[in-house]
Amino acid sequence: MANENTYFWLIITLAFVMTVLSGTISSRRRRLPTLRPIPGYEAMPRAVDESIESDRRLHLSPGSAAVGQTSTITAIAATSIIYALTERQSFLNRSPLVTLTDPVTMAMTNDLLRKAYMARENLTAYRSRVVSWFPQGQNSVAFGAGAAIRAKSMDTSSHIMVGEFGPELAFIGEVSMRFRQNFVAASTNLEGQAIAYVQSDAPLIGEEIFVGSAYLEPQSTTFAGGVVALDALRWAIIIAIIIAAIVNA
Amino acid sequence: MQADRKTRRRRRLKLGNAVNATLVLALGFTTMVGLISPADSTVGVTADIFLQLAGVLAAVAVLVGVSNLLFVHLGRLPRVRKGGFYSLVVILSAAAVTAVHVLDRTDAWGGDLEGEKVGPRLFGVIQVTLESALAGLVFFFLVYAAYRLMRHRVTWANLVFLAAVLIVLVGWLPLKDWEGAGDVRDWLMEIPVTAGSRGLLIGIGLGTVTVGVRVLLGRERAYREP
Repeated sequence: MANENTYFWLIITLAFVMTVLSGTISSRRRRLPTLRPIPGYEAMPRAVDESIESDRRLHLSPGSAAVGQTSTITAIAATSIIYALTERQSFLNRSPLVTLTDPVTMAMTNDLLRKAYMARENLTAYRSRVVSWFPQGQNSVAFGAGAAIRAKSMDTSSHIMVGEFGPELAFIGEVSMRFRQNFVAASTNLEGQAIAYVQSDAPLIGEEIFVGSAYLEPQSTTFAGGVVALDALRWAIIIAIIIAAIVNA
Repeated sequence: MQADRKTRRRRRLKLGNAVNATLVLALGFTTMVGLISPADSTVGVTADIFLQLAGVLAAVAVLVGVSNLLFVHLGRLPRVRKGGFYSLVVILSAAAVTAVHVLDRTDAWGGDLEGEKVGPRLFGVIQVTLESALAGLVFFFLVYAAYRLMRHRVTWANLVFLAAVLIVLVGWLPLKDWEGAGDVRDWLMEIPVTAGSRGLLIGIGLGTVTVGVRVLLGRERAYREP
């Protein structure tokens, strides 16, 4: 009988093979797989463009996703989205506002912002102080209230909150409603996800958080490979559940 | 000459990327294998050391976070503008909490407070009370958000969402004639809600694996220069 380790290695191996294989095939064929439209990722570039046109800031946040804890991968996925959106507007002198609760993620986000400005050769516009740390940790209502006020005081046009959030997300959503700002949110925490679905202009659900790079940087074969791997894993799990249900019936 | 220098710089950066990717690959795989190996095996002990190093790094990063907080608010003080007062409150609070913590550690309190830990008591009185008060507002925000959702776009998913919210709220009412609503609520919570939650969690788990693989392959931007 297979134990938990066997399943773990099976899933990891499948993910490896699919990511490498699909990435290699895409780059050899010079054709990327067609991705299904996700409203959240269609709304994000629009929000960036709107902030550029209105000369206002973007508010980006990975929430309480923390590098070095169980939400490390969420933090990496969320900061990839922050990079892609910042890079899109990094020819400007106005940096986006980033709010978060983990200091290690703060250091990583600062580095990614620097790289985003470096990519457009506009490093002089990069300001490390636009990344604001709220020392509260997970599910902090004070973070939600504080980030909402900070975003208001910095004249933001849109809030893009992708990462780990709890009920505190409702405060930022409420501020966006009151001041007619764009609000796109998603959380790996179920409570936060429920709030994100209700308040978002364009929702993102579940694993869609982890494919942000593929949608926002569509020319990358690695990121596209990740989407194919995710789809393959999803189908493998669906088939495994159906087989298990039939066997146990 | 200048073009030559640029090419050399680009090469150097790519070498840096390769070193970073190799380090990540080696450390990542060692830690992953160590986590599922016996704790007293060589690879298990090595993984434990890496994890302890990560813990130390996280502790040092808190200092970076505190510095960021203080720099942001100190920067706002000289220019007296909207919100400057709150920055002053933040700085004074940070100083006061630090002082209280030091006094707690040195058992310096006297009189009625002798032997007491004032820090946790202050946290309970101020922070927990404030957070509870704010948390109470979340319900009203969500009801307003549901109203706005229906005004913004009426879809089948939104209708199902609204119906579920109403059933769950009505189900919690302590009315004798409405016991059926309680049963429907229980069924909703046990079957569709549990199934949906598990679906979302499985999806998030799979997403985590694919991004994790990307990290282990050294393809993540965090350790690559543009």
